[in-house]
Amino acid sequence: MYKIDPAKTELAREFKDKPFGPHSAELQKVLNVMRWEPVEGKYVLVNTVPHKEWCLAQLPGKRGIPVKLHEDVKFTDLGEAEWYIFKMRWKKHTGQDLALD
Amino acid sequence: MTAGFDYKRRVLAYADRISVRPGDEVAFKVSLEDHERFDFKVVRVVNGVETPTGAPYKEVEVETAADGSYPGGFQRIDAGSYAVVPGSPALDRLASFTFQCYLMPTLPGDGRQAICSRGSGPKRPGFAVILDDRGALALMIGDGKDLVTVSTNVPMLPWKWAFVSASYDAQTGEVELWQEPDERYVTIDSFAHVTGEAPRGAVFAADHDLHLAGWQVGVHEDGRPRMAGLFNGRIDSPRLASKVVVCHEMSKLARTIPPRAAWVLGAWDFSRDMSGDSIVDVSGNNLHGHLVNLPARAVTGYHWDGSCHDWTSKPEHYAAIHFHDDDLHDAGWQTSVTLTVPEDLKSGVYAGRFRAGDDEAYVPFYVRTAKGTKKKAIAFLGSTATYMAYSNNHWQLDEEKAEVKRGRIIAYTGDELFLNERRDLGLSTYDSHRDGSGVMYASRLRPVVLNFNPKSIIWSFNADTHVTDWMEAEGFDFDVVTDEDIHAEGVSALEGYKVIVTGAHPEYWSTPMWDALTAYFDRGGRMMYLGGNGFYWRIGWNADLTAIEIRRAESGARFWASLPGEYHQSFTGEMGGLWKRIGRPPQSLVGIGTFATGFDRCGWFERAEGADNPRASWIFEGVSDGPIGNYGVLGNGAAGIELDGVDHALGSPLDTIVLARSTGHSAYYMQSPDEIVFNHAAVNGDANPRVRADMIYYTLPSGAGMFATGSISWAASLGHNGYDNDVSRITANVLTRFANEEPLP
Repeated sequence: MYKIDPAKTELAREFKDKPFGPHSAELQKVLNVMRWEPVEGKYVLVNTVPHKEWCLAQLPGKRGIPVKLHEDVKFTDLGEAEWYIFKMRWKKHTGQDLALD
Repeated sequence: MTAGFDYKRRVLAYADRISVRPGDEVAFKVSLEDHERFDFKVVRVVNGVETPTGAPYKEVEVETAADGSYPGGFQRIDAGSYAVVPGSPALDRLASFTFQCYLMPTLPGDGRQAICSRGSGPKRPGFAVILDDRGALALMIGDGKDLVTVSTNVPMLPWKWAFVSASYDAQTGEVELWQEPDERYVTIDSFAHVTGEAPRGAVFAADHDLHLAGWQVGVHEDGRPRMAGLFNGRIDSPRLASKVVVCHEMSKLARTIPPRAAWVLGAWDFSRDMSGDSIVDVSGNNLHGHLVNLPARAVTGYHWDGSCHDWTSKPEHYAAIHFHDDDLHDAGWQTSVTLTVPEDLKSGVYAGRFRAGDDEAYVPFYVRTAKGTKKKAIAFLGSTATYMAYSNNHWQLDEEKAEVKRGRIIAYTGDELFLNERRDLGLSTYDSHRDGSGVMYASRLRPVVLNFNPKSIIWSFNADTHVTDWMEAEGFDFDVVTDEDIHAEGVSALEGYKVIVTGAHPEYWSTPMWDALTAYFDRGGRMMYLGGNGFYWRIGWNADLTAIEIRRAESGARFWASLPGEYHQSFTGEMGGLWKRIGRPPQSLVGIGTFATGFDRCGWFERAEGADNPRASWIFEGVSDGPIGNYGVLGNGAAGIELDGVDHALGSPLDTIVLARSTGHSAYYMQSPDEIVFNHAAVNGDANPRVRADMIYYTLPSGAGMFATGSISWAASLGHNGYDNDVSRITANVLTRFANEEPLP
């Protein structure tokens, strides 16, 4: 199984520059690892204002339990939201903060 | 609900009919929360999609005699399937008894679940054969004062068949339980034989229904039963005897044809009336019953041995019903508004609009031409079976790999959050039940908040309004007809139309629908298939139950898979699954068929060799050179989501003209599973030449003509730049020509 290498920050930079792709083969592997997570606690977005505002949220993992909204974290750009969650997942999978620049 | 973002839907509604003619009646059923009245209005749905960049949302109010303010209130939904055997004198005489069946629990230990019950709850005399909180077989006996439960205290195993029996001796009060699993393990044994004591001489309440897979604990104010302890799993060959049955009698009683003994009270053969919603008692007492909320039928039973895969040839192998506590068929609401369709209402896409304060709901319906009136040259085809299949889809909420499949973070709408919490609104055929089994049936007799309503996501019903909106904007007059009409009336529903225009995704087709379309082409009918993944799955359509059935057989782009032996539909007996696997690939009907799917962003078309073919070059009149459709409100491109291509081996006419092919597809686009017979690393859009859409044109000797785009997102590009774009021009060139009486080139 592919493991995300915290030293390969160039992949993170590639994602930051082009969150919606096309992505290099190795970045694609990083994303496959990050995107295949258990439903419970998975970070997602909720479109709180159609086409304008998205709120960070987490799935409950159990049917009928409300999705948890983090109303203090909102985005007006989907690319920024992708990058925000990418950084959280990078930390989760590598144990290291993602420090670019 | 989470504070802040308010996604609660306080108005919910549905209708009894979705395709009507002037003079017909539509009964709308409405439920309100936090409101006491609602305003009703009919609107013509012009464009149901709300986007900042595409064609604007548009509805047109229509005056009808039903306009006005109506009182309303909350209407309940009782989800979960079970069987009811109406009370009878034979049941009233019951004292000592034995209940036995083959049982496959699928969620043992997930709350108390009733297998067979008669009674009105703990304080009333009655009995219930149950799985207790631990998933162990138990019998509850209540004499009106005391309620005693005797349990095997041994949990049953999920998804494993077992024989179970529970008896009560009214004279001695003795209870006896047998729990005999088919499979035994070295370290896990769910066998149990237990005896216990219950009150002697319990007199069960008379004139009460018997229930299988549920327990009636009371009556709601509206007279409907209040059920609890709904069972998840399969029941096969349930038997009820009016005495304590001993071992050798149990085996006789379990036979398909039970013994003609006086003590055999009920012997239900679930392989009878497989296509309907009744259960048949073969004991001779005629204690026939009915099913509530469409549990799964034509599923393999205890006796299935793999020798048969078609229930119609060995129905005795399919004598099981799979019950789910999240099945829903008919919400059963009271009618709130009855609309008589005005005689002068033109054919089109309409909706009932229900408003209360800031809350609202829409229920779409189609109005066809009045009988005997002249039809227009163009008919838009409403793909209502597809809308039903996707209604109230939860897959993004429950599916672990949703984001992997979509290729981006899932951004949920408020409607999806609401659906997640209101599970009683029922599932879609893309979902799995709580026990993991696939959802095979979909009904429209329930409120839908996703995929069959305007102001929703760009999918199903709503995505198809891009086509009707564009036709209206470009001045094309059209009638509407639905697939349901075609199923019921055959080709006569299409006769008189020069051209049928589909929406973006006419995916689900019954055999009668398919045959009618074939007959339409044989008569020289023309079609513009403006979508992708069309004509893909065979369905069964049951008009009596107002429901469709889908088997995810063998292969295909599936979110769950039918189990072995369960590829044949209960409604029709036909093999379900992909039309391709049945022997009628979509290419043989409309020239193209599903090649690939992908959901992150869309590509565009580039002209192919056929664009210069003298028979087809007129299609590109006024169209600029270069990419076609590198814009649109769905994935920013006219070629995407689901892509269809030409394959002569699958039936595309040999003289099909390929006008354009799509490109620009990402690695998240992949060949459809039914296109791959052995996995390999080059199934992605950036590596596989069959990850593409083919835009095609052909004619048939009958004079029929076909234009197909092979892309779901095509329609979502029609409105770009105020309808002034190449996608619009190509579509208009074809529609103008197809609607004309002149023969096609």
